[in-house]
Amino acid sequence: MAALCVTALLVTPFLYDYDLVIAAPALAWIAAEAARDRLLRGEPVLLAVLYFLPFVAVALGRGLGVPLAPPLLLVLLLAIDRRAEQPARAVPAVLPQGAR
Amino acid sequence: MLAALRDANWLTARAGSRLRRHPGAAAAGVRLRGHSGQGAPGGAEPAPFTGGHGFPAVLHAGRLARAGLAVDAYRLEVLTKAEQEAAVVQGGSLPFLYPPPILLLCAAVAGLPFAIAWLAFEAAGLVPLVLALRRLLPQRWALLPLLTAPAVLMNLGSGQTGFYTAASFAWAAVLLDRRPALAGAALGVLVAKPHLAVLVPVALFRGAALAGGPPPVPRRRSRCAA
Repeated sequence: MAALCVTALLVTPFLYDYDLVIAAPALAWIAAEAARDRLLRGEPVLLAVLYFLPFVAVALGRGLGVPLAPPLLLVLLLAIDRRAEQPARAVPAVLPQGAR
Repeated sequence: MLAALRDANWLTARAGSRLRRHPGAAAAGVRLRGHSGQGAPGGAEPAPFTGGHGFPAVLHAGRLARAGLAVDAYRLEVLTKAEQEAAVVQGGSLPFLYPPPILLLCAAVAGLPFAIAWLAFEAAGLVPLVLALRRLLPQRWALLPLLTAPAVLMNLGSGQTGFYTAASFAWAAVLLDRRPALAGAALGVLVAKPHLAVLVPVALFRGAALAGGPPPVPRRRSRCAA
């Protein structure tokens, strides 16, 4: 379903900045998985960028002439795929912070 | 540099205290944005709100529906005239682009004054959305970042329907495994914006093979509590 939220945004050519709320369930899913297990490489930045993206998406898109949301959503989709491909851990690893 | 960006230890370190600071910054951003739109007062009365540019269409479509003139909601000249006569919010008028079932919802709030109707319309979408997201992410720290997420604030400010579509997906994610019929009903809300639902049948056919899905955290917790 997390992937569906993101692909729904990617597949339509007709999208406004407020429609990006739909990415929230996908971000929440990654955050929930990370809280259960651990954050994977790159996820903190990805979550933060997508969290704040709606504020700047329109302005940056106009300034740059290229919309930023689709490539970022594509990265989010890949991150969801990576999470889903990971075998579920029987015992969640408890690592001290920064000891990866 | 690249590693610092990729691993973002500065972002996760003491995440709790940082998370508490982020929402404030986000809220300040929205306030700035709101004021910057207050520029040109063209009409008779000053705008009490600067956001809500999508909401007049919803409100006046609802009022037309209440008056038994639902078809007029789709006649651009009639709707535009109604929007401009009321002119609570300055700026251009928008057409009403949602299918007729959504008029029921619009009509439900259309009897209220503009600001209250706007808040009611957004709350009716935000409450189910946040309830669903809390099922996915029940941790105590998560509530504030959810409520003050930029996407949430922007949708609230623009008086748009993002909460309804997002709640539809979120509830489908929460319910799909246990109550598939209810999950289907939740996805049915997407009649409001069918272009966001094109992949829903594909995803449902793929079923469990699809990536993602709700983590079983809340259920496990409630069982522990019981």
